[in-house]
Amino acid sequence: MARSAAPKSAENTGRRLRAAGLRPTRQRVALANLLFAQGNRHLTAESLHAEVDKAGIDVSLATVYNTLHQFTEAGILRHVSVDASRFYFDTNIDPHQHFYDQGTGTLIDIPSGDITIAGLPSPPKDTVIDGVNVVIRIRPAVQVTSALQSAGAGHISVK
Amino acid sequence: MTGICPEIDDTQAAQRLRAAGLRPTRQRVALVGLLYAHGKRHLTAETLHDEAVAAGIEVSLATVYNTLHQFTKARMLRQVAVDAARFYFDTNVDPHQHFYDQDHGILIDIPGDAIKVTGVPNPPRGTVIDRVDVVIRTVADRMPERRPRKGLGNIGDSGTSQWQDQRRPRAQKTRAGA
Repeated sequence: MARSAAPKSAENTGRRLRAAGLRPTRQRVALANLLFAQGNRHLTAESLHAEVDKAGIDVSLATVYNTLHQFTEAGILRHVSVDASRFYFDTNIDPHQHFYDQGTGTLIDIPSGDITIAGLPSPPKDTVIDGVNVVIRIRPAVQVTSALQSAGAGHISVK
Repeated sequence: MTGICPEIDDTQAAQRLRAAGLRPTRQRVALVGLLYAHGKRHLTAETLHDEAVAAGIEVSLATVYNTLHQFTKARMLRQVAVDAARFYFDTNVDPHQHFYDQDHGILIDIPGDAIKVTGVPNPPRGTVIDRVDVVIRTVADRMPERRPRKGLGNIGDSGTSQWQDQRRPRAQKTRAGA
């Protein structure tokens, strides 16, 4: 949560969009303002659309959806693939990984540098590694049993 | 669907469904037969639907989709989340990880114990770790002659430098599956 909570001015937002190669239309600026006003966060098209409604901005869910995808393609948002039924976007595009709470559908950041991976095999012939995604799937502790060992993590608190 | 091993018949499919706590409806039995007729594999709802149509099974894409999700919930299948546009289901539910070839949309298994993930912080209070999913995204090597094909030195520049920093020394020590 390094960013300040103060909304960026429309001018700044316009500049940011242009820097990403996007024309700063009124809708894009409005959506970018909402998106980036609250520091690093995870959201779905639906949750942003609810905020849009609340803010009295007249934008359809489809437009929100398309805009989020444009932002992702332009590199100012990142997509987090965790669940087939939910599409998450992340305003934090710096390298980091996630806990995914399967019970509540919440994503939680794991800071970059915490997790290390060893023993990666060579990538298939004629390919190179572009990036590594790690998702630590968690669930309520109630049904806990033997799955713990196979999870492969070092320190697990059961409380 | 003949000549493919290991093939499972309707009785076995029904048993498998019951063992997973699912009622063996006709559609489910038919889809299980298709799913496991090709051994371990990765597939999308669309792929399975195409196969169902080819096999003369009358089922909608929506039903295939829902059924795959039911199977996943029942832990007969595992979801592999790699791409916004594509969702893969994996008939191999044993612990293992994946390479994802972004150019071709292909998943390749990495055996269960090849990769070691360390430094995972404690999960939030009241939760436990269910599974750790690692996806190594790969792209075509555009200048193969300039790079030794030695996996770990090749990590790309798309904001993933921390992997390069940390893994290079460690990976030397482990028995990386070739």
